[in-house]
Amino acid sequence: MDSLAIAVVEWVINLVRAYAIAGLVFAILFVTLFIKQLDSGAQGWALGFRILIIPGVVAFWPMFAIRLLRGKGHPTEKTAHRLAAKQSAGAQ
Amino acid sequence: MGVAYKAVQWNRQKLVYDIILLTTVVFYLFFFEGISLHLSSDLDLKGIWIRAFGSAAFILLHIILSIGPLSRLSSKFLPLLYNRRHMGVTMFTLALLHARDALAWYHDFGNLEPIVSLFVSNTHYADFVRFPFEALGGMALVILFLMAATSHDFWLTNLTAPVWKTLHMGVYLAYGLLVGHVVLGALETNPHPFLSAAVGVGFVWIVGLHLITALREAEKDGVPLFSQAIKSNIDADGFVHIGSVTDIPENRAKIAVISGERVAIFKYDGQISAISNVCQHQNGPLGEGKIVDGCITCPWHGYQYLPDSGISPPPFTEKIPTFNVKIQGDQILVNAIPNPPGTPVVPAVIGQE
Ligand code: HEM
Ligand code: FES
Repeated sequence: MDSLAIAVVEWVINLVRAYAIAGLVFAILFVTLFIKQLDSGAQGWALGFRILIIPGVVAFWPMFAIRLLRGKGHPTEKTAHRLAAKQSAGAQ
Repeated sequence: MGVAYKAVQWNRQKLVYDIILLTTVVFYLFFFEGISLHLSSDLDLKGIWIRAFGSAAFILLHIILSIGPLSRLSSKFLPLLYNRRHMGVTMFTLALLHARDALAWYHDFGNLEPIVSLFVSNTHYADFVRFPFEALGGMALVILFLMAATSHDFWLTNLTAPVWKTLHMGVYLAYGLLVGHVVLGALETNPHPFLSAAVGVGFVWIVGLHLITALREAEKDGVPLFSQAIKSNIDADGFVHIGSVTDIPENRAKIAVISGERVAIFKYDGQISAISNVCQHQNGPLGEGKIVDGCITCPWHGYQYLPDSGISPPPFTEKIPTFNVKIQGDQILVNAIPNPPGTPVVPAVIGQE
């Protein structure tokens, strides 16, 4: 077997592991302490819900980290109509 | 969303679907084991379970991919659409069990970790028949994980519906990778003509179903796929002619394309209101829903909006764009430019100019 290929694959897998471990630490802090700052839908304790979203937070944690640092909530979607309405409001 | 999140919003119907789903899967797995042992008793049990999990996941994926187009073709399939999320998570779990067992079975010798061995034990990346089919399965599994992990409504709100939908469109990429995984895997480890034929039939079914549905949708919008689009006629005041009020049944809508997107024009209580057709939940088609208790009700998961403002009734907080409307004679006219989400609009009263 190609030892360079093994080294590269091992390196990439370690990188993914580091990202996931950092994500897990962030996710646990996020669902216990910070989630209400970003989404008003998270009310009460709702333990099942908070556990359920942990895998996704591990995957997307930088997105939530940036929103928390900027002090912003979740964005609203963009559709053709929303964009057109915004444009015409700006033109007036 | 304006209401508190819960882990799972079960109701009686969903619970029944989940029970049927899980029983069918468990039955399939043991049936597969029984048949395999019956056909050749010298097979290893672990090898059988790898195939049982893999094939169960792959079959379930076909069902999941069929539900979308089928429910566009006939509303009879809508109840399956509501339950698709749990099917997806079940499919991911089966695929994960398949991958875990395959890794332990084929890669846990030697001094390499199984996951490293997966990518380096076969490096024929330039060779078609000996291509490392397991890497294809691995990539598909990552996509399926991202989808299962973001299946809760929390993710729709926090990723926004368009981003979420794009991510979940990844299922088609995963499907393509898996067709490769199964066909090449079969060629390498389990050359059985029946398996390849079944994958072929499944592939033709999925592609055919999607093509038929896409053609029908394009026709409905007046944008036939293979000919020129019908121009909507905007008048001097910037209004678009929609047609007669008599075209629309009470508490229902007519759908027209204005400003690059579908608009739902509702008739109710002798009045007409128009709002963007795109539901803020998962972009469901509001114009295919009804007015229930004075609210436009999305046919997909029941989100509601007031017809004259596009705002969800409290405690909800969704807002969608509205359109100014006029009536001339029996003709409905809708402004070509949408109002900002949640803008109140005076409904046009039928028979009063
Ligand atoms: C890291 C991920 C994966 C690995 C390592 C893997 C490994 C394998 C292996 C070794 C086989 C050949 C088994 C045999 O014929 O004895 C196989 C076949 C198969 N895999 Fe995967 N797989 C992965 C992901 C997936 C996923 C995500 C799916 C589907 C959702 C899937 C579906 C299948 C199917 C349908 C077969 C053919 C089963 C049969 O031969 O009867 N695999 N996989
Ligand atoms: S798309 Fe889910 S309720 Fe409209």
